[in-house]
Amino acid sequence: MSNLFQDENDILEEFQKKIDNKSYTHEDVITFKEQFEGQTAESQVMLKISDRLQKRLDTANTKIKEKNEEIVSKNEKLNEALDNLMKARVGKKASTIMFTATILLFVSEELYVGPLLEYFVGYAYLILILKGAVAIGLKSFESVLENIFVNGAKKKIVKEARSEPRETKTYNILEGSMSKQSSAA
Amino acid sequence: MENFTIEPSPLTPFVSFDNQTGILELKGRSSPDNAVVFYEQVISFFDQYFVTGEAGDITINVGLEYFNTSSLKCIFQILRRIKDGAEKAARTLEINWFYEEDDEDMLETGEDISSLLDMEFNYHSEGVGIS
Repeated sequence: MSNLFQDENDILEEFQKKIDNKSYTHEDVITFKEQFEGQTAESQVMLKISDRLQKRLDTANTKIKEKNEEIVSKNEKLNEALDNLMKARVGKKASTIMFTATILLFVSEELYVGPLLEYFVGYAYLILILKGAVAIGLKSFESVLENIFVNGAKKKIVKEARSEPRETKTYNILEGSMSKQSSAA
Repeated sequence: MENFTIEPSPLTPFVSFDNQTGILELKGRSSPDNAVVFYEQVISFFDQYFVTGEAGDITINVGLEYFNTSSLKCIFQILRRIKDGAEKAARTLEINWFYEEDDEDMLETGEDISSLLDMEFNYHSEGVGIS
């Protein structure tokens, strides 16, 4: 069998030879007709089977597409939730540090910086300006702290994800079921 | 003749013929890049098998999850050649068609091939696992 239609080609070649030699009989024509009918019937059944299996694949592909869209949507929501959670945790940490820094600055200003400025410079409003500048600076410092913590947390998550074995879900297109596969990253 | 085995791959089925028991197994998925090349070895084997005169009764167990159109044509040719060979050698041929319980498509496919071959199949709904 050198190609898929070897049988059909053999039938045609054999009959062609008889035509070329003008040696075909009525029996040969009947045989050829029967063979042709047989091949046609075979093709019809095969097309029917192929269409059926193609339909099954199409259904499976549609299911995969729907599942993928569902996974992408859920993944986006999950990422958003994780991001918000991470920001909340980081914000809390930054606020704690800021609160501590504010108390330390306030105490040091009241005990050391304020009296020193009053003693050497003597302008009371300069202390107010200094306090205002420190308050504005602390707000910026809080944003910087938050960014540092967010970046650190993201790096940590990426590092953990790379070191853990990956678990992927595959969809069995023919059985219509989900199965899990684990692989080392 | 020696036994004949082709190990399965993601695109090709498990094919095995035990010369002692006369059992041919054809199981798995079949969508090779070139079905003719893949199945030619099976067809050649059975062409030889019936020529040697050693042929005994044959049982064919088919349990396919999926096959493409080219594979279908090749599988049908294999079944037809074995049927013709068995008839000429006056041997009995039994074809068992395995399918998953809820897989109506594969059951109907077996019925279509059975009708085309003009031969009764035995249908088994207990799955297509390789035994």
